Amino acid sequence: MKIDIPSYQQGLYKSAGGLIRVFLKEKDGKIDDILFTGDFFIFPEDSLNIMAQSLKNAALDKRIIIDTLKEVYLKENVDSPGATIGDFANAVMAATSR
Amino acid sequence: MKWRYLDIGLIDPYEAMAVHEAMFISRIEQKSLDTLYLERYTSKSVFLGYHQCAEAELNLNYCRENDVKVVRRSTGGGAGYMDSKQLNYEVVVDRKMHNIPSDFVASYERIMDGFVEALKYIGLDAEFKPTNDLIVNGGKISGGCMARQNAILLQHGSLLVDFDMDTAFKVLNVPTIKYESKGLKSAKSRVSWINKELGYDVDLDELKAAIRKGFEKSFGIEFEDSGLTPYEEELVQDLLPKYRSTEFIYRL
Repeated sequence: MKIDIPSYQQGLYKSAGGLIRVFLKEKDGKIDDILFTGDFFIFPEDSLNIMAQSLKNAALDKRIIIDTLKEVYLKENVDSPGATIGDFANAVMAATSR
Repeated sequence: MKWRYLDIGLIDPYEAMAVHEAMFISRIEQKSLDTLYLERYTSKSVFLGYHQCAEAELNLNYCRENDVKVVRRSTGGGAGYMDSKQLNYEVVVDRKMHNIPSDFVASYERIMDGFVEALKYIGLDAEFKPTNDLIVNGGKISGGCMARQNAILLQHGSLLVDFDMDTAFKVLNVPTIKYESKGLKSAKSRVSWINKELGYDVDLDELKAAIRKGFEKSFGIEFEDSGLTPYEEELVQDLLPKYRSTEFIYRL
C-alpha cells in the first residue's frame, strides 16, 4: 500500500530480527491507519497487511495492541524470527505523539 | 545426490529477480533439481526488501541522478547496494531431502555452511552470525534472505568480493537507530569484503570453484552444470514485467 509519508507519524524500533518502521495515523486515541515496514523477516509474507488491518480502530494502548496481534499470529500461523509481537507494539507506540 | 550448478554470468538486476523466482517455482513444482546459482549484476543497483518503504530507506534522488537501479526483492530483509563487483547467489533446495532445520536461523546457518567451507579454500575463516550474516574478522561479507514454500527453500544473497562503500552509504538511508550507540564510522567498519580480507583481488573463477567445492563438501553432493530449463525461461518472461513495474518496486 503506497501512502503519503509526510501525513503519517513514524515510529522506529530495532528488534533482534531487524528494524521495524511504522507509519501511523491516529485519531481520538485510536489507530486510524497503520503500515508496518522494515528489514525484518515475516512469514507468511502477507501477514503485515492482516496485522495492520486488525489494528484499525484499536486503542493506542500497548497491551491492546499486543493482544490484537497475538490473535493474528495464532490464526495466521505467523513467524517473524527475532521480531516479537512486543517489538511490533513498541514500534507502534514509538510512532505515537505521547 | 545431484544438484544443478548454474553460473549465469552478468545479468540485469530485474531479470535476475525474475530468474530467482522462476527457479523457486520450478523447484516447488518438482520440475528442476536442487540448485546453486551464481550471478553478477550489469549495473549499479539497490535491492529493497519486500517489506521496506522505498522512500524511507533510499535516497531516491541520488539513485536517479547516478543511474542506480531500484529493485525490489520478493524476500524480506534489508536493502543492499550492488554493482558488478559482487558475486550473488541463490540456493534452491528441498529442505527435507537435506535435513535442513525448519527453524529459520538454523536453516540460514545450514546453507551458509556451504560458503564457510568455500571460503576456507581461498584462505578465509568465515563464521555464521545470526540472524543471517556471514562474518570474516568481525566484518559482514555476506547476508542471506529466504523464502519458503512447503519443503522448498530459497535463499539468495551476495558475497561481497569488492564493495563501493561510499556509494552504498549515499544510496541507503541507514537510520540512526541502527548505529546510534556506536556511530556511523562503526556501521561502516562492520562491513567487509573478500578482497579487503585477502589483501589482493581474488580471481573470480577461483572463488567460484571454491564455492562449488564448499557446497559439495558441506552437503555431500555432486554438481551437474546446466542452464535454465525451457519452463524456467518461460517463467522468467512471465515474471519480468512484475519486477520492472513501478507498482511493485514502489509498493511501499
